Amino acid sequence: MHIFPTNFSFKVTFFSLLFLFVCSLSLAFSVSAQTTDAGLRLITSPLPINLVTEPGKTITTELKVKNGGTQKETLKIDLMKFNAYEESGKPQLLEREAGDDFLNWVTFSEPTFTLAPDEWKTITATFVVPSTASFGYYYAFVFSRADDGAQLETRQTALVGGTAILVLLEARVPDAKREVSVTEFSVDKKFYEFLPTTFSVKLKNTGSVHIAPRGNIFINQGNTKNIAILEVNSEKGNILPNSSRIFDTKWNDGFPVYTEKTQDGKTVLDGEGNPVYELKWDWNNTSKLRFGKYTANLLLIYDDGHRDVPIEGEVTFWVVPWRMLIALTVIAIFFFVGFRSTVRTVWNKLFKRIKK
Amino acid sequence: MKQLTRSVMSVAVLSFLFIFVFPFFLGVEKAEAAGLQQSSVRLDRLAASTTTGGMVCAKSVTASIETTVKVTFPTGFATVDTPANWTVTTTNIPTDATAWIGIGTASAATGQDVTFPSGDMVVGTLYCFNFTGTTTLTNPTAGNNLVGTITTQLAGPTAIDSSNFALSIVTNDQIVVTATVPATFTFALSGNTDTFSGNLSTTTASTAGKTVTIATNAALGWVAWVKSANAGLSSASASTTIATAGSLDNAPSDLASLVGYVLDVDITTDSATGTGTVSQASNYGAEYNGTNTTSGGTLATTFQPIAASSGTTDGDVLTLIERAKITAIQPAATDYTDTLTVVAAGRF
Repeated sequence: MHIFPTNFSFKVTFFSLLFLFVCSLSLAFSVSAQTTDAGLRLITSPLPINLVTEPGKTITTELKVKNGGTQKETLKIDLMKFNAYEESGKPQLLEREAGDDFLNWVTFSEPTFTLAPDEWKTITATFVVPSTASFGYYYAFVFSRADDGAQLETRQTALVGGTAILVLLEARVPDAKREVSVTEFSVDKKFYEFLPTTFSVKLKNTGSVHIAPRGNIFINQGNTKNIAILEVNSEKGNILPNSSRIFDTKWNDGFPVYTEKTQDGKTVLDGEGNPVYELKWDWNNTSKLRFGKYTANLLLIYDDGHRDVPIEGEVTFWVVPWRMLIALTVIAIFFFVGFRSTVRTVWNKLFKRIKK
Repeated sequence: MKQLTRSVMSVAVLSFLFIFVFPFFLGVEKAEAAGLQQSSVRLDRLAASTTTGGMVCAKSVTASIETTVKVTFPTGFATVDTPANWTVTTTNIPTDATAWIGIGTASAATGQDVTFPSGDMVVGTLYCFNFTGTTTLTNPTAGNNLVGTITTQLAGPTAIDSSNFALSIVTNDQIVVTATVPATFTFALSGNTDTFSGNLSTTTASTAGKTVTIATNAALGWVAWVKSANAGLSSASASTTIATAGSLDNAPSDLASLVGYVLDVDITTDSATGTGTVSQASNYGAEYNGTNTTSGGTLATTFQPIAASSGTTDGDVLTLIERAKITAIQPAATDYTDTLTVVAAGRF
C-alpha cells in the first residue's frame, strides 16, 4: 500500500534534483568569483604614528582604513616590525623573530573585518606596555585580504597586496639616552658655476630612542648674514637608535639656476636614471647672481627629554660663474681695443692737421 | 498808445506776480533734489570698530550735468579728512552696473561727508565705484539702521539727486573655517593573479604583469617591498621548484644567460604631481630594475625593497612582471606557481 500518491513521490524527486542543481550552480559561481582576477585598493591613515607612553601603562591609537575598491573586502591586520634600512629613512620590513615579545603587547579592536566599497573603518590598536619596557619599539601594521586564496589556473602565480602603517612607540624612562651628532655636513661640490647647491646633513642617533631633530642652514657671505635660510627635516623624519640618516637640502635661489628639465610635466632622466638639468634664466632675479665664497652654518635642535639641544656644523663653498666672467672679460677687451683704436685714429688725424 | 503801455505794464506785473508770488499762496513746494532711482553703499567689512572700504552705487533720475558725488556716512563712522586717502577703483562691480563715469580720488573730505569727482551720468544707468583706502573709514559700534546719504551734485555744488542708504554694523562679520587633511596612503594592486604568456621553456617567458599604484600626501614619500612564498616556482604534483635565479646583489639577473625565476619591477609612472621622485636605488630596488625583457631581480622569502619615492604623489605606478626560464630536463607539471606579497608604506 502506498502511503503517498505516486505523483507526490515524483514531485519530491523533482524538487530534490532541482535543489541539487541550484546548489551546484551557486557553488560553481562561487568558485568562479574566487578565480576572478580581483584588484585590491586600500586607503590607510594616519602615517606614520608616533606614540609616547610610560612603562606599565596602556596606550591606544586609531588606525583608519578604507576599501577603495568596487567589491566587498574582508581584511586582516598582520603585526610586523621595522628598522632603519639605510640612511634616507627607508624602513626595512621584518617578520616577527624570536624574542620579539613587544609584538604581543598589541591587540586590535577587530583583527579581521569586512568593508563595503568606499567604507571607512576605524580600528583601535591597544598597546599594553609592561613595566619592564624601555626606549623605542617599531611596529608595522599590515592590512591585507584575510583570505586571498585565489584559485590558480595553469601558468598562474598569485599576488597578495598589503599596505602598512608604521608605528614608533617610545616607552619613556628616565635613563633613556637621547643624543644625536652631526657626522657629516657637506656640499656636493666645493665649486659651483651656478646654483643649486645641495647640502647633505648626516646625523647619527647614538641614543636609545628615536629622535626627530630639525632646524636650518643659514647661508652667509662675508659680513652679509642670512642670504638664505634653508629648512632641514621640516617633515620631522625620525632617526632610529644606532642608525644614521642623511637629510638633503637644496639652495636654488640664484640667477641663473640649474633646474630639472621637464617634459609633459615629468622630469627628464638620462640613461642612468638621473634627472637632466637645464639652465633657467629668470631675468626678474638678476639681483640673485651668486658670486664668491659662501659659508653655510647648520643649526639643528632636538629634545633630549629635558631641554632643546643644539647641534651645529659649518661648510664653505664657492660660486663662480666663470663662463659669464670670461664672456664679460672678452667683451670688455674688445671694447677697450676698439675705443683705444678710435682715440688713436682721431688723435693722429688731429695731430697731422696741426702739423700741416 | 498810453493805453497800450498800461496794458503791457499790467500784463508784466501780473506775469511777475504769477511767476514769483502766486506760487507761495498756492502752497507749491520749493525746488529740491530728486531721489536717486537706486542707491546703495556696501561695506567690505561690517564688524564693529573695523576699518573698511566699500562700494557706492547709484542710478540718477534727473537730467543734469553731474560734477561730483557726495557720500555722507552715518553718524558714528570715523572718516579720515584727507581727501587723497580716499582712493577709488571700478573693478569687481556688479555685472549690471557701469564703472562710475569720471570717478577719482576724493576732492573733499570733511566730517561725515566725502566728495568724489563725477562725470555726467546718464539717467537710468547704474554707476558703481569702490573706495579702497584701507584706513579711511572705520565702523562704529554694532547697531542697526545707520542712515547715510548719496548726493549727486552740479558744479557749485548744487544737489541734483539724493537718496539715503542704511547700514547695520555687527559684532563679528567673519566665520572662521578650519579643516584637517589627514595623512593618507593609497595602495592599489591591479589583480591577485598573474599569468605566464605561454608554457615555460628554455627561452624566457614572462607574465603579463600587474601594477601597484601608490598615492600619498606623506611628505617623506613611500617604500614598497615584495617577498616570495617559495623563492621559486613550486610544483606540488612534481615536488620540485624552479628556483629564483642569481643573488641579492643590487643588480638584476638576466635570464638570457641564466635559468630560473626572477621578478622585474618597472617604474611605469612617476607622477608629475607631487614632490616625490620614484627610484630604484642601490639597496633599495636596484635589484629589481630589469632593463630588458629577460632580466629581473632575485626573489627572497623575506621582504625585499623594490622601489621608493622621496615625497608626495598622486599616483606612482610600478609594474611587476615575473620571468622564468627552465632547462630541458625540468620535470613536467601544470601547477608550477608562487605567491608574491607586495606591501607598501609611508616612510618614517
